[in-house]
Amino acid sequence: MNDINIYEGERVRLSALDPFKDPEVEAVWSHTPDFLALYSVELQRPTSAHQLKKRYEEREKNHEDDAYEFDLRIRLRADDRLIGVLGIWVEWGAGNGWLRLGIGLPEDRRHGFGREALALALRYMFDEMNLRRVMIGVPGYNDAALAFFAAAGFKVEARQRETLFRFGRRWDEVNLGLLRAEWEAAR
Amino acid sequence: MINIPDRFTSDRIRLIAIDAERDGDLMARWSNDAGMMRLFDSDVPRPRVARQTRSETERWAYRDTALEWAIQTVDGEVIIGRIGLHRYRPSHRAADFHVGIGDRAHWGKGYGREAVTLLLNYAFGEVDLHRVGLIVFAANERAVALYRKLGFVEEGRWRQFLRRDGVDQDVLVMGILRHEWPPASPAVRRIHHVQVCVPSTELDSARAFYLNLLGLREIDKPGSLKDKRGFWAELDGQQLHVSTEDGVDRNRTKAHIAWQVSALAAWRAKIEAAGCATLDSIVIPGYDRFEARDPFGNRIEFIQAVAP
Repeated sequence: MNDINIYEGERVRLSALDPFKDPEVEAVWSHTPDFLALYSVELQRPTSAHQLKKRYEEREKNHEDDAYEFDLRIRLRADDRLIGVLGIWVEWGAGNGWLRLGIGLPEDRRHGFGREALALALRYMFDEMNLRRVMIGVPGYNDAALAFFAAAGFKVEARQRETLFRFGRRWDEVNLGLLRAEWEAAR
Repeated sequence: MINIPDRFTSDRIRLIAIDAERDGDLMARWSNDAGMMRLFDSDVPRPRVARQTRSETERWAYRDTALEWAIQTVDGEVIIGRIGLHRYRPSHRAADFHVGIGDRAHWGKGYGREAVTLLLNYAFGEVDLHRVGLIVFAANERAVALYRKLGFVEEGRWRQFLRRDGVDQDVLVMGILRHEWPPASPAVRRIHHVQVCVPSTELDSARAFYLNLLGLREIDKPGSLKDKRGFWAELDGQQLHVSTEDGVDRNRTKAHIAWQVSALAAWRAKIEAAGCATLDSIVIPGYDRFEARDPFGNRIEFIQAVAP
């Protein structure tokens, strides 16, 4: 048997959300102008650590989403510092997993941490979850993300026209998909 | 007082509120038709009893933010399906929709089309959405054809989204924007261009007549027509295409183009000075006019409205 820790890469590791400690860091991210714009299409709003704590407590109580929602965190192995978020949402019936990935602070980007985390996430989704495909939705303005996922082998599958509004104008939302066979071939 | 539209009723159906108590048995019956449930959802179809369909419906269709209705026939008041908006993102003014006619006996009768029409009127007219999207199995040809007919544009396909009976199934992503709804009915809007022909040796004099004398502005021809003889001209958004044709006696044709002008008398003098004989047309009310032949024999008319 392979005794490898599938959550650990060379420099980063995937971990559970820490509902007590992580909110302090994530509250800072939510006050930076670009994090939410790049990470999600939800309406941007600054959020306090206490609000986040309450939200996580509530979610923990319900346990409803456990079967298909995986809200993970990206940490540096060297000092265990929280640097990013990795969300997985699974449609088990189809064998499809939606992925979201974001590195919180600008200074933590462009070091290859995201690429390492993505590799871990894809191995987790294909080798452990046994999914058939992985997909993401990227706002049309996020050129860096489009290039990042294309470099990882994702293919543009659909362009939902003008479905987003941000920075005072409309944008497409781009769906990219990666099939298991494509991932295995590039492995 | 404004005319209040009935957003929830059309010829044969109306959209009414969801009632888990009322519809529980019905939905349980639908859930036992696995083939049909496969068309609606990529999730594993599973048979349900009414107690389950009731609690599921209460859980997601009873929230204040839910936009979900039952489809009921006007005639007989039979509930035949469900329709609603989901993934509604208010700040983006966008949502997706889902629809299902639950009972096969009601398929193929246009109920789905009526229900989606009501929903889109509501989505664009009341919710003020900018885009309504949907996903549909590519193999569900009837549904895809309906959505195309309603004006949805195919925006892409999620490859091999699902595997059933050992076959990979693609999912189509479709969307319609506010200005694309309702789809334009086939109608002629206005005259785009007319074409006249001149002998192939007379293109220079045709330019002199139509551009210099009449004052039309020459425009570029498309590259694909560049090697064809002739030229295009434009006047106030409408076009005249001048092409060549030999061996035809144009003086015998009755068909003509009428040019609406100002200073009709001055035009008559100009046309005669250009060597074209003119003659009075039959009088019609509200207009002065005369006719002539262009230097190549095409009949032309000059017409000016007169004050009553």
